[in-house]
Amino acid sequence: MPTTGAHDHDDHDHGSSLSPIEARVRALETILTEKGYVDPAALDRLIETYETRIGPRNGARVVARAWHDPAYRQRLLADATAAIAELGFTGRQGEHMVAVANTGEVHNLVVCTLCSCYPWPVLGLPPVWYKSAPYRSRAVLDPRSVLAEFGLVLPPEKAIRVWDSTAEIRYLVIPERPGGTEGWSEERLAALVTRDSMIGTGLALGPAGEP
Amino acid sequence: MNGGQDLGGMMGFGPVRPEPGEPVFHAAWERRVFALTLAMARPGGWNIDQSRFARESSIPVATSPRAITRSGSPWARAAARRTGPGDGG
Repeated sequence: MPTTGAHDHDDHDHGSSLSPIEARVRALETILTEKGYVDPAALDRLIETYETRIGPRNGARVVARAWHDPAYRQRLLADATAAIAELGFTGRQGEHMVAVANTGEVHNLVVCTLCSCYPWPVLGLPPVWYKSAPYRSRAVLDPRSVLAEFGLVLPPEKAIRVWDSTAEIRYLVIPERPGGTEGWSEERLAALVTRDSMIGTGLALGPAGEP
Repeated sequence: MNGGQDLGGMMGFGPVRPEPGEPVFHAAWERRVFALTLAMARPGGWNIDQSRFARESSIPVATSPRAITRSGSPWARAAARRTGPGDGG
């Protein structure tokens, strides 16, 4: 397991072995700690939270419930912030949520062309590709070829709707429910919901777990 | 709003490269920068607009895709903002 605390880095007491960025970050943490602005233990808690508790499994539960419960789906589409909060997922980068549902005719794709806005409470922290210049520039210009780079080739007659996040609004895609899952429990359905299917760069898995 | 951060529709960056099984962080120092960034929002000293301005100012003017690509990872820029001269924090 990777270490998280500044105090338990492998190379402590040997500053010369640190790379420039490691030294810079170490110095930054040290001075902020000495000035009383941050507590290293609190930093550890933040890291642990976003590495283990806040991630795409939260969003998968939201989608699975929307698939399973038509009334919940309606609430989610009407007021996603409130509907997602019903499952206990609230907080930073999820204050103004909008859910967009894929249909037979329309596929939704989410991007942040200006930076890396992403719905943390339901998806966790964004992957590097989501923050990268190629994705941000081309998702709005040529979404079909971007999807192809994820291995997702949509039929030409399917429309692609691209949602560019604003400073406040964060989007969650509700992928189409896979066929052959009638009567499944929410928990079982949630296992089919991938992170990428909630960004729109993928689809939900099939009933046998196949892409 | 057409600063260097405004990448929508720009050409020349090449393909998107998804990383299968990508970890939340790629290096220990990225974890610390992330946590420091979040934690320092609490004592504040700036508002969200100042924070966004600083973020966007740390990206080179979009004279070329290569200039932006060479500006490094978002986490490295976040660390630089907090140690650079004139940082309001």
